[in-house]
Amino acid sequence: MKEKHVLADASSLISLTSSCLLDSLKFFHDKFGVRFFIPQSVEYESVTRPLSLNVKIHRFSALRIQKMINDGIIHVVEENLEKETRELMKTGNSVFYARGKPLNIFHKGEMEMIALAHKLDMGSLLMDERTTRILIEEPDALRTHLQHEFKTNILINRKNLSKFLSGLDHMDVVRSTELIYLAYKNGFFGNYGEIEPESAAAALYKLKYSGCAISFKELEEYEKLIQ
Amino acid sequence: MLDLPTASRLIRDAYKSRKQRRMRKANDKIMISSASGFSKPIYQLAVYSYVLSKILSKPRFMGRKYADKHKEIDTILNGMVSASEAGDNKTFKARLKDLDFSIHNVEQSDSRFILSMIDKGKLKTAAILYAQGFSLSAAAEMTGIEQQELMDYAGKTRMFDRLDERTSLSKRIKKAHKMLIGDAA
Repeated sequence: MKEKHVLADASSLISLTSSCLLDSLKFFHDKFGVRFFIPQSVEYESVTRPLSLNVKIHRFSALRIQKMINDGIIHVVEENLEKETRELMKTGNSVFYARGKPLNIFHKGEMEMIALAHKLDMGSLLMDERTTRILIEEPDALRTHLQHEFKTNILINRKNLSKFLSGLDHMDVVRSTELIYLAYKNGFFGNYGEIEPESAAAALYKLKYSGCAISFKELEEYEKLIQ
Repeated sequence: MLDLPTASRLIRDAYKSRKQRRMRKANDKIMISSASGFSKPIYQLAVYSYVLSKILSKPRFMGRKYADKHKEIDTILNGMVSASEAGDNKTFKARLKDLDFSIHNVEQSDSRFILSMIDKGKLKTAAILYAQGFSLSAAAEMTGIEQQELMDYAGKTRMFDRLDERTSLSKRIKKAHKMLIGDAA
């Protein structure tokens, strides 16, 4: 079995753990040889910080992710990407302009993910966050959205956009909903018996309510596929 | 885009009128301004205008028992306007702290929820920023809200239906199949 590498961001781990579906990572690890990687910043955001601040409401989620790391399902990549992240942030935050001013809509958290993907030459990203995914997939849709939200004309600096997207053309971004749908198709919910399809559909809705960026229209499509 | 004195005046006048709708309108204006030209004081005013609108919307806070607390907030808001007009950032920050303290006092006298009104205001503001197009980390960082809390809140809204994505679900599933299973779906 060929080993597959997937880079996961904090948002996907958060929605999977909030939905009690983090075991799906182990399912893909054991059944299809998938290794999940996270940068140190994601470990900090989803494990170290909630545990050190003793945020009781997020403590169990953090511990479940910690267990996945301890069990070798999730691997923390220790790379110093400060320079690359800073450069990507500078470029990403100079793509959209409103009233002549750049919109600083990206943060180092997401940019470090992209920097790491570049560095490790990884083409697979698991991400439930919306803005960065849309920038990679459909920057013009993001522009239209920003125009609608800010009620002003938004300009795209195409040079900076090309610079930001260079090297990302081979990158596939998927959400936890796609991961759970494929888990269902391959028997993850097998022990649910006759309520297996219903459980899979309910799990997808739970991911949405936990913050995965998916529309209700797409969830209805998934329901039809599952039936 | 609103400058700090204008935003401060909007809040002060709306609060003085004791009209919740007027405060909500002030909050809407400040939110748009906050998102398109982010500055910490403007963002803080967005949070407090949201919280003040919540206070004005609750009949239990509008009784005679709270008259002195309302007057105290009026005085603080006047101080914020004066400080912002004078460009006195230090005093402006001090008045913001006073406002925070006064709001906590109002709430503590009738405490009902674990999450304070100010925390709710921060969460709501973070969700609006994320809905408008800021990245999750950016919205969380700006407001000091945990990403998990923000995702939890955002997931229960229709914000993900507001952006028209063209990538089909079948294409997404194909990509995921290639990524996780390895061969073509």
